[in-house]
Amino acid sequence: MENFASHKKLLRALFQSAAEGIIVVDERGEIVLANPACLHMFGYKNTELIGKPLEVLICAKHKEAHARHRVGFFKDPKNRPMGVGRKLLGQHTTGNIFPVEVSLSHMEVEGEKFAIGFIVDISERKKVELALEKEKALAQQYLDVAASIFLVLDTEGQVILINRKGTQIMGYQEEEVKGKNWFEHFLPKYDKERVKAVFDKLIHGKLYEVENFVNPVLTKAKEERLIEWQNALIQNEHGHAAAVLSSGVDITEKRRAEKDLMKALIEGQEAERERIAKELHDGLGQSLTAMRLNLNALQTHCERITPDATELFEQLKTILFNTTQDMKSIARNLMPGVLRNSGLVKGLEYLCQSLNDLNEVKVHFQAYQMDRPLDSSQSVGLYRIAQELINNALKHGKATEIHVQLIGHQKSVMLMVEDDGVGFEDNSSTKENGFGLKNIETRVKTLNGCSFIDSHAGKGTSVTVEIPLYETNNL
Amino acid sequence: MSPIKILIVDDHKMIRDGIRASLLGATGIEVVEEAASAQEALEKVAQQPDLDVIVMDISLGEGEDGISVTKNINDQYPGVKILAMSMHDEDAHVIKMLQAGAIGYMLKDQGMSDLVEAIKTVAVGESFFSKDVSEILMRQFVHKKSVSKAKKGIADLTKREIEILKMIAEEYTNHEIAEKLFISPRTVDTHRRNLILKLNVKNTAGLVKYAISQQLIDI
Repeated sequence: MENFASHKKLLRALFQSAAEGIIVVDERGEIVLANPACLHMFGYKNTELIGKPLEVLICAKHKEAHARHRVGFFKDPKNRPMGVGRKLLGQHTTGNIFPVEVSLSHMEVEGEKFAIGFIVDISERKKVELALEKEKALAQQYLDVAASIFLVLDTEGQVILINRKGTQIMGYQEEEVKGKNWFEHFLPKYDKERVKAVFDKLIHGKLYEVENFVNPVLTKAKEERLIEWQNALIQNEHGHAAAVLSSGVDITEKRRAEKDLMKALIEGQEAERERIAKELHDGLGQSLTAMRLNLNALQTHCERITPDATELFEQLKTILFNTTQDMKSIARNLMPGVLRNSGLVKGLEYLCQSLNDLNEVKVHFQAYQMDRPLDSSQSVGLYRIAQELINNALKHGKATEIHVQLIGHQKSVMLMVEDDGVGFEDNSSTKENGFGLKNIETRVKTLNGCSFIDSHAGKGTSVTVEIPLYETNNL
Repeated sequence: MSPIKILIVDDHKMIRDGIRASLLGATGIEVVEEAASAQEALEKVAQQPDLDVIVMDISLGEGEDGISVTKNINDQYPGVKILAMSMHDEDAHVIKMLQAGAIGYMLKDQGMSDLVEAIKTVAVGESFFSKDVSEILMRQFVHKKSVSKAKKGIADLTKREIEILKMIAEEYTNHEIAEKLFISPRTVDTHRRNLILKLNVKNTAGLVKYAISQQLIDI
């Protein structure tokens, strides 16, 4: 009995001091008991609530529905934990309405049913939730108005998030992208492995950030757009890779404009070279010829008058001859007439021949299936590239034998220059250091082609340049 | 013997004057006319059909060229001999001029002391080429042989290509070939593509078949 009394005491203390509101209602819906926390929550004093219908605590809008639910509850009482049921709006004596969460249980005393409600005022929590939601909406808004693509991929490469700009550029609806594998669905086939490799490195912690990574994406219309990405790894609380966040800018047009500019510069340069070459050949060259003719005419006279001057005369003729040869070789380097007049194959043949004539190096030239039309930027471009490569082989590579091949593949033209020179080991350093490779790369780029340099110290160098013959959207 | 009557066709007056001057002391040669353009050249020939030799420049300025004039004159006045004189030392120019009917070719930048000899040679209907031009013609002849008559096949492959063809037939992978030859697998693959094209086969199997037929490998 003493035990029972102490239990009762404990219960009473709990009831009195619980932070939750506790309320007991009978089958008719009248309040039988309400603890201080409950009274405080709704603004009532002492016993004010006893005997009142429960619905006085409920905001007008919900009163009726609540009464129905209450009747239903007593018919088949089931306990309901906090947070599972519907959200209710409570009403304070002052008329203030506030959100509450209620859990329910029931009991039966001497044949009469009672419902016990535990009430929590969740207006604070609601406020935080609201603020969070607002922030989320704001973040979404930021994402949506951003001029960059935002893309989040999980560790498998599935799209978790893509913002509006992203879907705009891709031409898809958000739902069409979300959940799909980025690499399988949204990258051109030829490039996906390269991009995936970098992604995997990032995921496996071999890279922390990948900046200015450029790759093409495939839009819904199967068009390629060139995107420049900044990528960062997102880690979970355990420090494991969780996702990769990428922001990307569409640089398709920018690249195109850059390429056009580069092309215009190169074409301008070639036109200017051609002009100077012509001027040298037709202007200066003719004057030199006229000088020689007149010198010839003068010679017989001179010999008659001052025989001693013969040696001087011969010297003069030699100087004139050398000057003419120098002028011609300058003009030829500026713009080989044979290239302009007879095309790339003849041009290269002539170039290789004139190098062979020097008897210092053996240059072999072969052309295969080159009876196809090249436009002048292609033939001049490939000629310059070959010229530069041969030059490199001789100057830096100290080659003694050079193979130059021009091969017409089905949709491309390939230039291959192989030498037996000293080669080099480190691609990156030589690329920067005056090997003329930058020049070549620029030219290859403007021709939409690709180049590959393969060299090993002591094992010679082979360079392959391939340019597409037809317009492609390859950027 | 009456002197050789010549017409000088060149769009540069100083060249015409120069030629005239250097022929001044030469006996048996008489410069009877000059022309500065293709049109003028045709007119002058029409007026003087008994010309012996025309010294003809190839570039006549303003896009006109001596090649078509030469052809024209040669067709209408086959008795007039044409000696081409040009700055151009490219094969194509020499060949075209000869095809048009010139029987002599001199390079302007050298051999001017040969001018008198050239005119006299051409006048009697014999060919005259300055030393460099002979070399060009010779080269053209030799070159034609080696390039255009090259038969598709093993003779056309470089040493490196034969090496690779052999290794492909011996079942080496791109990577193995690359390692052995100190080149990159990508270059090996490029060679493979080129070999397929050069040997006119369809695929790697075709290369193997070819290598066997040429007994590049023992089987």
